[in-house]
Amino acid sequence: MSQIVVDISDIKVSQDPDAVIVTYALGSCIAVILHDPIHRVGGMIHYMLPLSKGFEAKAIDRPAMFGDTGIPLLFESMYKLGSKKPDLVVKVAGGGCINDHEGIFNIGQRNYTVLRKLFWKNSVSIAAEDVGGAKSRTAKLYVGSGLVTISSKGVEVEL
Amino acid sequence: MTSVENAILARVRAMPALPGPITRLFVMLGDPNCSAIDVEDVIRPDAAMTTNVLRLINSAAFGIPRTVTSVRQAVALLGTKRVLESATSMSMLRFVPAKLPGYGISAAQYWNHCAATAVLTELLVTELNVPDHDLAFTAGLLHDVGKLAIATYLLQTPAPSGIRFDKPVETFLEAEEAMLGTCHTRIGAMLGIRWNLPEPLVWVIRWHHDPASAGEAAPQALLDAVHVGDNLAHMLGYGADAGELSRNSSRDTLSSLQITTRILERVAYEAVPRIRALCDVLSNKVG
Repeated sequence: MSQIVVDISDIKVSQDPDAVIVTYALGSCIAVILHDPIHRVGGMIHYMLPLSKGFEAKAIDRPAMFGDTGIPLLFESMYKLGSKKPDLVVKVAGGGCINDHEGIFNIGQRNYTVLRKLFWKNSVSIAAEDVGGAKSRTAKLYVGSGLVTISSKGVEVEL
Repeated sequence: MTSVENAILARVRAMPALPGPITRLFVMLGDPNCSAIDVEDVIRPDAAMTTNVLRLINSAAFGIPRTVTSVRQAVALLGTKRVLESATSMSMLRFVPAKLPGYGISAAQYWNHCAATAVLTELLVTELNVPDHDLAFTAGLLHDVGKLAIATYLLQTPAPSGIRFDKPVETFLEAEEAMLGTCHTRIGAMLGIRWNLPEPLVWVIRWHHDPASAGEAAPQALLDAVHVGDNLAHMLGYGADAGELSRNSSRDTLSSLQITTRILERVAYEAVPRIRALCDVLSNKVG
């Protein structure tokens, strides 16, 4: 079984049914995980920041760093493999935060808010999510089956 | 003091002192009058140190368009401070065990976190115009040395595998306290004293989780910056250990530094390529 690692600010898609797409150490970053059970293809983004506004130069060079430029690119990458939006199963993980009473470290919350707005505008529904809390997560997508697992604090569960 | 803390401190006392050249590098880092010749005199006689420094300086972490072939050239291009930071960074690699039991991380993950904290802290002090921040990078790099002493103790103690600092308590530091009767900040400060690290670094190592409690003598701005850099590194997923995000952000720190979410995002945005390049060199070195 081949493993495809999604780095921070990165997107990977695959149509290899034996592949596992994995991203490690999601803190405040968010992984959007797409699976198309009809074409048996999968994709994942690990984005770090919510909005590219003010960082336009970097957004051109590295669109997967931001939710507003990276998430549409992930969907487009899946469409190129033959997927259609209604067929996609969408799962979301990450968006964690340290204990911060002032809300200054709320990058995870802002990452999630951008995602919800984008999905609402584009009529995308989330099948399952594991978001927020003082947790770091590892997300895996088994491309052949569409199984998604989340590992945190040494425990792996199905999403 | 618990028997476990006593045992860990005994290990700290038994650890070798830093070799003379490394101690000199740390002293020079805190000395604004240090000259290029001083730096060269310490680094150049040590072949391994020279090789490691040039490897780091020629990596993508520094983005220099041509190959640097000597310490003198490195100082001319980057300045004494950068070369000293490179030398101290590479010199510390030898003290990291392959695995850090209790924390659930490898040496590479430990360095990822330290490198990320170093880069983020340095960018923060620049962004916030923090005065007297010459030690920012090194303070970020060394803030967690206490974990090395605790991990080394656990590696040499029978049946250490049962200890993992992720119990459901309020914070990661409390998990350490609950299981060992001590924590990596206290142990780290003792190690810093043992190694004759510059005093501001010992303050940072001791109080980076709770900067508001450090007291008036502390280098508060540096301490605050490392506290934020450390938290941001964990948030961004660099070297997540068993404690994950179970850590507190100091309210006093955020208000005294006048940090906003937007500033944190800007710093994160700037930091990622540098962190990645630095991690590549350090991880490769530690395997």
